[in-house]
Amino acid sequence: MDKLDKKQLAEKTDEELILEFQKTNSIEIYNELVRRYKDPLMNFIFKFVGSKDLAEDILQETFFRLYRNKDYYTTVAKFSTWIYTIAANLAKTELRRRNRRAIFSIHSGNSREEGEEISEYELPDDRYRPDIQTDSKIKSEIIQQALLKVKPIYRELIILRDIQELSYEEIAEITGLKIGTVKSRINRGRARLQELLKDIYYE
Amino acid sequence: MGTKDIEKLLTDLKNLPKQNAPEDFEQKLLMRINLYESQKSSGELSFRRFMLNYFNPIYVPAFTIVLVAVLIVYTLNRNQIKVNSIEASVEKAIPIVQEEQPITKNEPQKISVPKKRDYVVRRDRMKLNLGPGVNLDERNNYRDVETTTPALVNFPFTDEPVTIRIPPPEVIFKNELERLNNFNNHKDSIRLINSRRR
Repeated sequence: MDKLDKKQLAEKTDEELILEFQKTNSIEIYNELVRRYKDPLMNFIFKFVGSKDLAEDILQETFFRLYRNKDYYTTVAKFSTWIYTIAANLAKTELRRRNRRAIFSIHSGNSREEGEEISEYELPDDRYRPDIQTDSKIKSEIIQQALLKVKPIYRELIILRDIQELSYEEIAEITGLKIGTVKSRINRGRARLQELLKDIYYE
Repeated sequence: MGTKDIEKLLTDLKNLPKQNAPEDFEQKLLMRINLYESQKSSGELSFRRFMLNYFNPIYVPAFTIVLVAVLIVYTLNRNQIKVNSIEASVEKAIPIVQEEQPITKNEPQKISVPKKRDYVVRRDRMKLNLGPGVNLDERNNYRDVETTTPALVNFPFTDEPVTIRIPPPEVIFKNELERLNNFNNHKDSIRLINSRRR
């Protein structure tokens, strides 16, 4: 098969590229898919796990699995939802593993609700003070920190909807939930986030 | 909090700074893929995948059972071991023949009951002198006219018990009177003797 140039690759849809990649195992096609999705996925994973290094590792693992398991993709699903599902599952698994380690090492005696973030040993955060809200960079950091305090089942949906701006249908496909469940969880997550950021959004 | 706050929050979330992948990300990814391909071609990857798939703690009980079964089969067939495709047979165990030892069985002793014997009682016929005119055994003396009453002459002899009527002895009053007198004469002497003893 003739090699496709960058322009031709850019014109193709994600689904066409992955089907082409399944047939030819071409590294150029694979690189095109990586180029298209590396930044949005990195943003999603980073917002979800809160660590740049960990997010990079998960992103690499996501694309590695795309390379290894390319034949598992079927045209039934959109490529974007498929790759987001892989990334989300890896991120959740990694987060659970980290929480388990922390529970066994530090909080072996404390009972904790599943999925709830560990906050007992965190240092008191004084960045919620209104006098330092002016700086938008700090505000973003505060929102990011607050986001990490929301339960992962809500956090994932808020990121996908309010940050990545995916549709409810796409989110339902990625998470395997019903659209009604997705909407209600997003609302609960937002409410929780508002509660955490009440000092910033205080009228 | 009102709807304005929600809108502010959603706007802030959208405007959060994007975190992009590092510049050398694609390079690192390609290095990993090349490593994967080289491992795949060398067969190391398939071995590692096999180890990951099958050497799992959940298979330990099943693996132990299989191992024990193999050990049992090996032990049973150990006299036919193939070493370097040469069948080397281990000598079979020769059974040692021993003289048959009498087996003492502790059977329950039978209680010997003496057989019933027929005791033959010999009946000795004794002639009883029951007085004059009386004789039990009529067989010997039934012809004796002096001792046998005429009524018993033709008495049929059988071994069966026979009712015999014994007549009272004959009393001679004269002799009895004389004996009584003698007794009365010696009566004082008897008393004397008795009194002396006292």
